[in-house]
Amino acid sequence: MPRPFNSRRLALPLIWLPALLVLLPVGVVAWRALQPAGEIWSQVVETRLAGYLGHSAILIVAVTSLAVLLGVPAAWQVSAHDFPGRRIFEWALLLPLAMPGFVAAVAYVDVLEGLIPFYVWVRKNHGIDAFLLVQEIAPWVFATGVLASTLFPYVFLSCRAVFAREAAGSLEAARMLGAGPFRTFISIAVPMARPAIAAGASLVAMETMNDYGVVSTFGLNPMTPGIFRIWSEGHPGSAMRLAMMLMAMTLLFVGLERWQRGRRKFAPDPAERPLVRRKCGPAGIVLAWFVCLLPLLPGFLIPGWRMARWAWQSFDRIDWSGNLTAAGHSVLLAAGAAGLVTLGALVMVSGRRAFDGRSLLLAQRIGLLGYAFPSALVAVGIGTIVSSLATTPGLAGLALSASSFGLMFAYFVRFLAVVIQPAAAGLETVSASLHQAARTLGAKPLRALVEIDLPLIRAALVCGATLVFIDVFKELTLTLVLRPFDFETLATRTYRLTGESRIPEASVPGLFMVLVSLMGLIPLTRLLSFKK
Amino acid sequence: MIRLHVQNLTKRYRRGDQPAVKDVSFELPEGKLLSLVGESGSGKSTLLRLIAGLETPDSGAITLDGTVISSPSAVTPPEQRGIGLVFQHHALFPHLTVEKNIAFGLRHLPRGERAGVIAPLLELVGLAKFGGRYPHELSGGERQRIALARALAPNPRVLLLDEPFSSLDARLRQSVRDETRAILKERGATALFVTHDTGDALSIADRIVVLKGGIVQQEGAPPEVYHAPANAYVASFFGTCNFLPVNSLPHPSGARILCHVGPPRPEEAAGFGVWVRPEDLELVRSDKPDTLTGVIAKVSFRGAYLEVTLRCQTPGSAPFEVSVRHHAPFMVHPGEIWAIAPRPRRSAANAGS
Repeated sequence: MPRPFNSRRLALPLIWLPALLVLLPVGVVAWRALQPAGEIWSQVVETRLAGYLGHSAILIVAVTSLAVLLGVPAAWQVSAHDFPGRRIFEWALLLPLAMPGFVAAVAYVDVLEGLIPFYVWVRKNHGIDAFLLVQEIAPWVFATGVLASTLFPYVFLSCRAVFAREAAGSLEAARMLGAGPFRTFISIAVPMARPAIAAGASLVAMETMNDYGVVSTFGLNPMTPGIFRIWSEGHPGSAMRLAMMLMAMTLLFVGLERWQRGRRKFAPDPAERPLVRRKCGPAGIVLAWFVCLLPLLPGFLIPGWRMARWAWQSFDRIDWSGNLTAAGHSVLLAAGAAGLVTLGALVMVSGRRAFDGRSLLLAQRIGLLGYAFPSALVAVGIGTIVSSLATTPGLAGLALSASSFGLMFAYFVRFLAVVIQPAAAGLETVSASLHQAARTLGAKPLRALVEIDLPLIRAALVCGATLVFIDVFKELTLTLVLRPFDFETLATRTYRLTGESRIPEASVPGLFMVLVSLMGLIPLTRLLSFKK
Repeated sequence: MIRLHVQNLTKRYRRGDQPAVKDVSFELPEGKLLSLVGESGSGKSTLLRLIAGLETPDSGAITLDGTVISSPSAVTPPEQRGIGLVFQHHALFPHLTVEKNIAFGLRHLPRGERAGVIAPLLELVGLAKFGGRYPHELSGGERQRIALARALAPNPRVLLLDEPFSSLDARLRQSVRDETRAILKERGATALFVTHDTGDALSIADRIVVLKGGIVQQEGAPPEVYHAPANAYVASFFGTCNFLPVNSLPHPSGARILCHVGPPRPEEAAGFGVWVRPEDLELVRSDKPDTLTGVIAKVSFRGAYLEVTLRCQTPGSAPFEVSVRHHAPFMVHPGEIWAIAPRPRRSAANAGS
């Protein structure tokens, strides 16, 4: 019997398309990196590589350990103890998620500059060596502090879930066996949370690795700014080799995290109810407040307060038209990216449901991988594609549209996972038998999808799209490199003004970004309370 | 000697809610095994957590060896009570070996003496060679026994067990609960366990406290609770129980009638009757006019006996069903008409309304 129409054969390429788009920039970079190296590369290896790698390694280790030291105890306090203000801290400790590192950095640049009298004092009293050392270390301290105090919520979040739910049974058992709070924390809570800590820490490490704004504001030279520098000096091949190295580092973190998760051979006994929190005495309350405020002050309260004050003081000098234009650009990019990414994720996730197949699971995994690709690699790969398009004869006039296309493309690659993740998880909770029931009742795959599956994951899709909006809204690294000439978003504007030491002016777009991101935290916290 | 004394305990989770536990009192003598039994939502787990010190009562008090450990104003923290708890899902520390799990509660002992406590305990629960294993390497029954050993190790003054057998399958369950009782008795432990399974409670407890809606329905030894239930709820909770309207009984001259609830008046007849367990009734051939008869509606094979359901109707009563536990020799079939008589010897009945 002839089959005039095979929807599966038509749909498969469409479903694979987003995955291929995600792979394209990596493919370009990998291909270029495999070409024989030139003289430039050996120069880079000789003069710069060790510095870049070393700086990246030091920064990642420092930021990640500090974020763990801040996040784990804070999560423990709000999950296991009862003290006045606990409920406020429980969500307030998520606030730094709305404060991009390069915005928080605005509030510390002048502090770093204010250290000059201290350097002078050191030089006078402890000699030139101490002076050089202090001057060398100070920016590291600031960059580490800013990054760790804005990124620790990743650790906080993953641990809180373990302490409050998964480990509750074991924690109560420890108590019944006579263990006090400290012993319970050290010998039961932390070991049980190890996989969660690893998951949070690997996110922190990846964000640190991708950071451009904070490190360049404080004048450090790790991999990401290094790649852009070599790229802008006109050595794409070398930049791409470095980008591949960064990619290898990312895979290392992902691998470490997987390994850590895999080592846990058995899930903890399910707890029947959430952990009963221990009432704190006066000393306990002081400790809890200290532990909660320690990351919250530098990560949100101090920068928020300082920027609000600067914005207020310079209120009549605010450049409204410049800020509004930038805000318009930011909204445009964020909304466009959210729409595109949601569409792509929708095609992949629903395609997998309708046409069950192993290859489609692979496509979905690739889509998720995009989040782990270093920003620098994505930027360099797409930059190459865009510039080769723009220099193609007959297309030269399209340079501007090509570069805004490139920017969207980059957001798509990096943030596709942000929607796929909740959408796929959402579909997982919608039993496949619902879809199958619709099919046995005579519905074609598409109709079953549209009428049964998609309405049930609408909330997850909206959440994912909102998160993409926020992520793009405060994105700096990709935007800075790929944006069309003279095209400014709130993020690039904040960064530029900070770099020009126009701190009060930088506060306005910075604050605006924080406010919009805060609104994005609402669906995020709702998603999390679903998981409870 | 009374080890644990619970007095007028009330606990409400949220203001305005029905109390989860309401005015509950009972005593647990030293060396005894007491069971708190009830359906889910009966407040038994809340009661257990109150005794463990994981929850604070709204009113009432808990006294351990004469010292108040819980009252609305002061709650001794769980880690200072000397009360052990075996969790429903065992809550073994997944990252510690069996030995280290048991050693966790032995911090008060010098390191050298701990092994001297652990080895006999492992021996006692029959897992002497399992000290180096991790919890995930144990079967369900083994995990249960390790959880028991871990809770017993610090020699708690009272041991609490939260649904200790619920995660075991039916075959394992019987043997594990008999073992558990043997272990507890061997150690002379004073223990309290909550369960929703009446079989657990009847077969291993010394005393039973029946809870419903947070209120104590009855307290007594297992045979007492089974054969002399305090009310209709307790009667039906511990197994099928027939409610026979009073005027359906055989003539009150016979010695078979154990409880006669006043002269039946037509307007009240439906509300008065006796509770009789199926095993206390038998099917007989009888053509006496005052015998209760019924048509067999259903016969279910239960292995050792047949569960026979009859539909009966007597003048002045609505139709009702009677369940009878019938043993061979003769076979019965649906549709047949049989007379129902109390089985000779013991029988328990009670007025219900």
